[in-house]
Amino acid sequence: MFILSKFSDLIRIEPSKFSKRTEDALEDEINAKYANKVLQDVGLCLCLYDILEVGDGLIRHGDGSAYIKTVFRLIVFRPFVGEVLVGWISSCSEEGIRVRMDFFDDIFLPKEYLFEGCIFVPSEQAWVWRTEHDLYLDTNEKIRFKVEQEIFTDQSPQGPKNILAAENNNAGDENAQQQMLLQGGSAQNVAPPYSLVVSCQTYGMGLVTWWD
Amino acid sequence: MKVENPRDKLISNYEVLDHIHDIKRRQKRSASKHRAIQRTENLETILLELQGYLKGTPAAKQTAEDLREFLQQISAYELEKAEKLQLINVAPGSEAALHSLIEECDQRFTDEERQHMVALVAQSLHPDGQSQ
Repeated sequence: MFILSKFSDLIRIEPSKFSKRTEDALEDEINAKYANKVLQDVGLCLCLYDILEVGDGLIRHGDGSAYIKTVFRLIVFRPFVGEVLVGWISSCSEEGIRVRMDFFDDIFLPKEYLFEGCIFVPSEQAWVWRTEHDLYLDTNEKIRFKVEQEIFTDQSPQGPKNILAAENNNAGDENAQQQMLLQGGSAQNVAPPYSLVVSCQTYGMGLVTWWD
Repeated sequence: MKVENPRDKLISNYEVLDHIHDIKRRQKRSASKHRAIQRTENLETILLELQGYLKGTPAAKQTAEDLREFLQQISAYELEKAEKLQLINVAPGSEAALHSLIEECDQRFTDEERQHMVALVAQSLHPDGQSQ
């Protein structure tokens, strides 16, 4: 579920922070810059794990800050495809189930990835797996699922002309549709930077209480 | 910024939780010495949420000693590194759950072997169902 990723970066330390130990100052700056942020094709950065190399502090003309080249590792949330995770159902809709983990909410379980024989009951707003007994997939239940696909969306701003073109391109795209669903179909078509598509189809998946 | 290696190492839930406790301890210590430490909103938010999530997982009850013991005993079976990591993170309390974690479980291992694995997990990894 979690990995360590190695980065190198030039960290700027303001003169007001010179009273701290260099490592402490670097840690604060790195956490301020990366904590709880999604990096493209890396994952959701959580916090600094360790600092591997600290270069010399350099000063630029016209700026009193020290610039220090640092090599460090961050703890990153990046489950691999096929990994089994546990989360909670946050809502059900006809398209599928939205799942949350406390620190990460952009998880979607489309209906095609549910067990065979699952139906949506609109009156209860829940999915039901019809076997010998009716097994309910209800809101706020603890659910075990498998990661099928990870979607990164570049959120860097686009030029005014590109926006229209990009929207047209995405229109028929399956990914774009799934991201729309992840949004809960919100009118504002802003896809989350990092989202997971998960499944619940094999033995041992579904609500944790069914199996243990 | 340059990404040197996006996947340097895999890390278990237990280690992440341990690291969070470590950060919290250091924050407390430096606060008592009246040294200004920086508490940024992003960091505090993610630490709180992470801690909340991990406290509900088996990682909360595991110790370094538990993991060492488990890894030693489970090495009798030929498992991929990622599979062992998953066993530690999820701590399957039943054979059904074990099935979901290990690929082609019924072909690679016999009934007794599977039962033994579940027993090993129950013995050292504190699976969810057991304590409640």
